[in-house]
Amino acid sequence: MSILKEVFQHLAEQGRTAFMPYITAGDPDAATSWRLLEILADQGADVVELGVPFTDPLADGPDNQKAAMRALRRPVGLVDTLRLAEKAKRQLGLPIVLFSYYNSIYSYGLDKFRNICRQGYLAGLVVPDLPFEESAPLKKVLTGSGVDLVQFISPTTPAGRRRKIAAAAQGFIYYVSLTGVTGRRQALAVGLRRQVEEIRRIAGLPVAVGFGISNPAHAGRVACFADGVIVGSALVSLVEKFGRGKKLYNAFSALAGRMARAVHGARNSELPVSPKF
Amino acid sequence: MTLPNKNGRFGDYGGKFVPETLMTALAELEAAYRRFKGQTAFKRELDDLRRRFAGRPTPLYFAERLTRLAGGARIYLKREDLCHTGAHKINNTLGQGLLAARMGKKRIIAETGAGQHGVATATIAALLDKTCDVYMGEEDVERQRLNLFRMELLGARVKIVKLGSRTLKDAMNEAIRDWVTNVQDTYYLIGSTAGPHPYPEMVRDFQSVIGCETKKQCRQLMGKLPDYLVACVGGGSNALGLWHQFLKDKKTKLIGVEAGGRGQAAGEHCSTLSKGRPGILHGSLSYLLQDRRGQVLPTHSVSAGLDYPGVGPEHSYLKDSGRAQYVSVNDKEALRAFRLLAKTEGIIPALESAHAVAYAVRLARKLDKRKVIIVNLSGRGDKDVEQMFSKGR
Repeated sequence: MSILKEVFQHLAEQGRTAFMPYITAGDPDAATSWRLLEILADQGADVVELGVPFTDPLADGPDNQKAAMRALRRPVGLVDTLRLAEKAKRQLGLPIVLFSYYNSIYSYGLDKFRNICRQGYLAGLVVPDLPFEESAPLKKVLTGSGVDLVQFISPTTPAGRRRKIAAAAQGFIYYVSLTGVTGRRQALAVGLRRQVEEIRRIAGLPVAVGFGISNPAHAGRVACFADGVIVGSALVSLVEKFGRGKKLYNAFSALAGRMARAVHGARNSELPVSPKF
Repeated sequence: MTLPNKNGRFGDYGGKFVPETLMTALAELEAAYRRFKGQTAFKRELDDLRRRFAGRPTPLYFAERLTRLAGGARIYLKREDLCHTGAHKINNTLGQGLLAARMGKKRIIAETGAGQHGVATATIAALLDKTCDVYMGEEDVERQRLNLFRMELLGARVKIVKLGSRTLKDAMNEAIRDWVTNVQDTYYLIGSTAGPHPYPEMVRDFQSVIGCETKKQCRQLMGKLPDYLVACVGGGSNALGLWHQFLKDKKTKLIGVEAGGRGQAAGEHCSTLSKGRPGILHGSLSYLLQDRRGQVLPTHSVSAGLDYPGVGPEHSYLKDSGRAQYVSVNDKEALRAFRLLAKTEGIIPALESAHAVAYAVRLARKLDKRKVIIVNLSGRGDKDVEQMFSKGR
């Protein structure tokens, strides 16, 4: 069974939603990223999305672009991110989903990447510029590795296409809550709940919602109906604000904690929901 | 077989490497393009605009003094610099503009490097009464300020991109981010044969009017096909526009001229096909200037329009198949050719096109007098005069 399947099954049994924070590896340096991963583990992150810094992150808004630029002040990339991922899995037991633009993987070499995936520390892969039509070569590499290739569905994805993507999906569906790039927004998209429920029904997989979830109140609301809540920019922006060191750790820990409690507590205030997998 | 195939591939290259949110928009665009491109009314309207608005056909001009000076093959110039707005870019924006209008889009966005595509987009947006936003890197704004004013005069808003390399690459990143956000009512008018399918095919097709005219003009002027077609390559649209009609004429050699910049070291040039390796940027798989970690490298060229680390996927295919050959011309040679063409022929070329002129002169010297070289003079140099002036005469 894949790591992600196990994680979501376990959460489903408890009637809880997954808290899935995102950080960029090496932002602003590897030591700080490691400390942030420790904090996320302490605060009850269920899955961590770890971003590979890339020069041209075209699906990302300003917060994550700046995070990549901070990380890229040193020569870093996929290998450095994988080193962090492996340590996080082995020492903290965190399920890690690698968030990588396709060129970082393609440039590394698909065959070499196959060996990485077989080492067992990665739970999944999120590749924002790899739609499912182009994903066959990567999917082949992942076959039998236990690493799930996560597929996106967005508000612009029509019904027929949703079914095709759902059929190809593994691990969970990443539902992009709005048309746009990653980043903080004032309000959540309208009709989110209905979308998530419909996708869960056709995919038979957990649905995690990301893009634009900016504060604990947003996170809590989405957690009432989603299987996972992905929070990136709001956390990443703290690195810009506090740099590194104690101030950052305190602020990061506080926000991650509030987010985690909002997500994990969401369904207790409602009637128990039994997600169908 | 004409390429790309139905998946948008030229051999291994091309494809659609974009966020899911854009996939439906690309499918709609492709459907609209397939529907309208063969339609009589569409073709008639485009043809009419090409003639009466853009000033086509452009002349094929024998550069007699330049030929004498080089002392070898005969050099002809395809005068795209005489097009309305000063470059070949208008060929593409007319076609895509009409398409955007038929698709009912209210807003047009574009990226621009030298500003020529931005101006051509702002022009068609004015003509068709559309809102227009053009993304331009801060560094390019500094060196092509005149084009910024031109776009504003034409009613477009210029959005200055301050992150990343602050050139064409980041302008394109921002344009894609805008499109992802406003995809429902916005048409993204890409200016080169780059980007995800169907852009490389569509832009090439709209630009291929250059080669269609050239072929006809060759028959009239010299009664034979040319021996060499020389064009500068940034993203590669003027080159493919000239070459497309000649791809099957194997005796006509195709030479793409990339910007050699200041030197051979990484970050000093934009010789993507000569020095890059395949990678994914801006929606397609193609040659790319990148480091060993897959990070896209900074680039340099004196010409903003060639200052780009990627290249259109069809060029990658033509390189690997050997049908086209790619060479580099550095800043110095390009600047020399810029002045040379002005003094010998009374034509001030765009710095981009000056790269092609420089190579054509180098090539002509080595060839027999009966050989014919056609250079795509893709743009005029008015936009570069200020930059040249500040460099010192």
